[in-house]
Amino acid sequence: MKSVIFRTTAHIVIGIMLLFSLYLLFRGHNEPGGGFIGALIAVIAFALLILSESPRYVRKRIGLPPGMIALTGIGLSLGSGFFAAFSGKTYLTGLWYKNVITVGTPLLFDVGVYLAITGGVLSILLDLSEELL
Amino acid sequence: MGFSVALHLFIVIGLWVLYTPLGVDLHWNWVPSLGASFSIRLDGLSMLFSWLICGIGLFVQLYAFHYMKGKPLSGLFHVYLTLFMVAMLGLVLAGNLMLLFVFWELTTVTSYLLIGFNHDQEISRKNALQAMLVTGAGGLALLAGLILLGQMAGTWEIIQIINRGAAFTSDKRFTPALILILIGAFTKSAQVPFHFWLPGAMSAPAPVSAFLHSATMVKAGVYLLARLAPVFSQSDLWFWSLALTGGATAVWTVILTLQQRDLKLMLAYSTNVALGKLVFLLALGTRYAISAALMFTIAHALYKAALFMVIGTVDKATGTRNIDQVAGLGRTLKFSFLAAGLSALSKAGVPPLPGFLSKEYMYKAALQISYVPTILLVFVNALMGAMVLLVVVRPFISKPDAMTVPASSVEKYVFLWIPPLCLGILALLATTIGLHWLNTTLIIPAARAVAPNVWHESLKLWQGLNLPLVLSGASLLFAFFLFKCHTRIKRFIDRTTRMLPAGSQCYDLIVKGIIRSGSVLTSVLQHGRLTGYIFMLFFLMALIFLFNTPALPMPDTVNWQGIRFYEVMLALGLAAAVTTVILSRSRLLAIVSLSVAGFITTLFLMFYNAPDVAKTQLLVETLSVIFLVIIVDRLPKFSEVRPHKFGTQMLNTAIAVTIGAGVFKILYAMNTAHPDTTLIGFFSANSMIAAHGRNIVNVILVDFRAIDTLGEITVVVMAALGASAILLQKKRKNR
Repeated sequence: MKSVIFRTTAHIVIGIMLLFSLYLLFRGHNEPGGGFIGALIAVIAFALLILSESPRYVRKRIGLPPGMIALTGIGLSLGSGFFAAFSGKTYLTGLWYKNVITVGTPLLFDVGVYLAITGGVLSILLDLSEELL
Repeated sequence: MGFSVALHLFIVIGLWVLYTPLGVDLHWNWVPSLGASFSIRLDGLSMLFSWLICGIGLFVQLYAFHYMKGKPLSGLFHVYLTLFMVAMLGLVLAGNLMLLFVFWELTTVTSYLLIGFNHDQEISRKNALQAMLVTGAGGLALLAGLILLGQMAGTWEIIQIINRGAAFTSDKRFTPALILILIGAFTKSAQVPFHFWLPGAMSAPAPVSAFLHSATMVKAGVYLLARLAPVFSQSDLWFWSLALTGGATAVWTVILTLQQRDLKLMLAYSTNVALGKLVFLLALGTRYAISAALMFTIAHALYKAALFMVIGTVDKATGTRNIDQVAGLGRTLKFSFLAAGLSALSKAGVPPLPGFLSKEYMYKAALQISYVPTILLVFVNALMGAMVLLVVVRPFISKPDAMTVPASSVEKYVFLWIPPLCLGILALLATTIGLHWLNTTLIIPAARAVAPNVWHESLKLWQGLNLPLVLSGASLLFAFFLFKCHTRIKRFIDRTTRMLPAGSQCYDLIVKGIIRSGSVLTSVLQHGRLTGYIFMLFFLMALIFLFNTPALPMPDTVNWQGIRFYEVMLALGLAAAVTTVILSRSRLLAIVSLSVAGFITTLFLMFYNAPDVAKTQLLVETLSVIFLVIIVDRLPKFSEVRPHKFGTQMLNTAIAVTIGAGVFKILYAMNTAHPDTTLIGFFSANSMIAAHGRNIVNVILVDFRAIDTLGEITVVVMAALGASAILLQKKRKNR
């Protein structure tokens, strides 16, 4: 799999895929997409990099341990619910700020989902490919 | 130390200020939705017990200050003791069944910490665990019993349950509730056949034994029985189970008592005896029996705590508790001797001590019933008398011989002898000067709580020359006689009991059996073969489809015109892909065909206007292929794998067909029947207004049902952690 063409294209495609995954994440509330789908695309992008370079290369480029990313994601999702809880509503009720652009705690929640899935699946993928490749 | 004393005095005085003989109720809401409230009932019965707990607790803490000094973690020891005392107080003061149960379990946990305090010794750990498992198992039974009782009564408040008590006897939940509660009480109070944990718990330091086995832990079961007596005492089952268990416990353990050579173990078994007698008296339930039980509770708490402390001091002075190695301590341990003497006289039933008074009433109660319980009680009391003579005369009075270990004078530490002596003097005062006060403030109100419908009168020390008094004297004489020839009796008991299994051996067998069956079950279910797991999963699924066909509305006619051309083509492609998976002789081909099947499913989803689901399916399919590609290199070639036997193949086919047919049926019914559109309507209507999103799927995921999503992402991360752990283990093994 270490062909020069594959490696060169992979690096270019991965950039586009990661960008696209973020795009899907942020438009998810109104158009098809969302945290889960975005995360899967991000993982596939990294999988491409694992196959074209090596698992160790991917680990080095990401910098953070994937388990850490996953836990941060769960923390974000968990935490996003407390905004409502502290303003006297039920836990995880969506709160919105609509004056300039529409932003709300569900978006924060979705970012948490994105990070949790990316980190979680990537962690399995990296462990497994380090073991087998 | 100052803090501890202050705490005890504060509780004792605080209770005294609150207390009225008619009973006080305090109430706070705790979990109103479960009917559990933090209510406190302070009547005669709980007052009697809480004063014993606090009073004995105070002396035990004082004793422990010296006894534990210099030992590791002695500060922690006092914390445990205090925690245990608070749990115990909560138990006797609780006015709500749920609250009572919580404190009941707390006493189990804290007593585990106390019994296993010398946790560097294996025997200590084992016995603490044994005590916790036995009482904990009883606690589970008790919980079930209390829930049944609460459901019968429709309330968790004990006072209301007692008021409605008479109405329950015809309820069909009455008997199960009674049996379960009795199991809880009997395990806690160490009745036969659960008696063995109590002597086992003797591996604890002396102050723990003095506290747990005099006034507290083991009395919790007796307290529970006394508390619930008004509800259950009308039934025959109550009478017979209490009378037989109590009687059997008293007789059997009194025989075991005389067999022991360890002073502390003798006291432990005699505690079993006392508990048996208490349960027996509660069974009788007459005026005299209840007075005797309450008086005996007080007497036993006072003398047993003092005796345990004295034995602790003997241990401290000589380094041994073997009855053959200690003698003539009366000269070095003068005050301990005095304390032990007072307590022993009370235990043997010599007037005017509390032990005598309780025995008088015991005989009175038994004589009212028949001669059988009377003879039984005389027998038990005589043997107890002999045992107490052994415990006191041999170590303190008899002359030292060759085996005797010299004693060091430990009585210069005042806290080793002041607490037991105080308890002895208190016992003496209680039935002489304080008898009237004791009657009016504690005994009669408490007796009224146990048996509300009986008229209770004061206990009197001198009641004229009558049969009980004669019996008391007789049992004393009998005791002296037994003491004189106890070596012969011991030999006889040893010979006869050798054949019988000991309770703790049965316990060991049961625990071992549980562990072994657990490992057998694990090796059957968790064999580590992936094909086996998959087979099990699908086999069960097929069974469900076979025997539990979901009753779904099936359409009568099929609409053949509605089928489009591309749908037929896709279905054919799907079938071709799946057939290739089954028939292919190469792994790579199988994987590719499987993913083709997956992608065709995605196309179906696209045609049915579910872009989000289709996208997810597509991505998951892609990821699966990537995972499979990583793995496939390492798998053995198909040609190297031995094919399944014909029978297995047929079974697998049958399972596959059954599941396929079942899933088809469900899908078909779901697609043709008219679905309930309430939810769809709600989400489409509110997605924009309430959640500011046009994509309903995403709005459901992150807003309407966000808590579900939270759970799901947690599961994903847990799976990742699990996979990491397994792979890490393998990496270590390889290295």
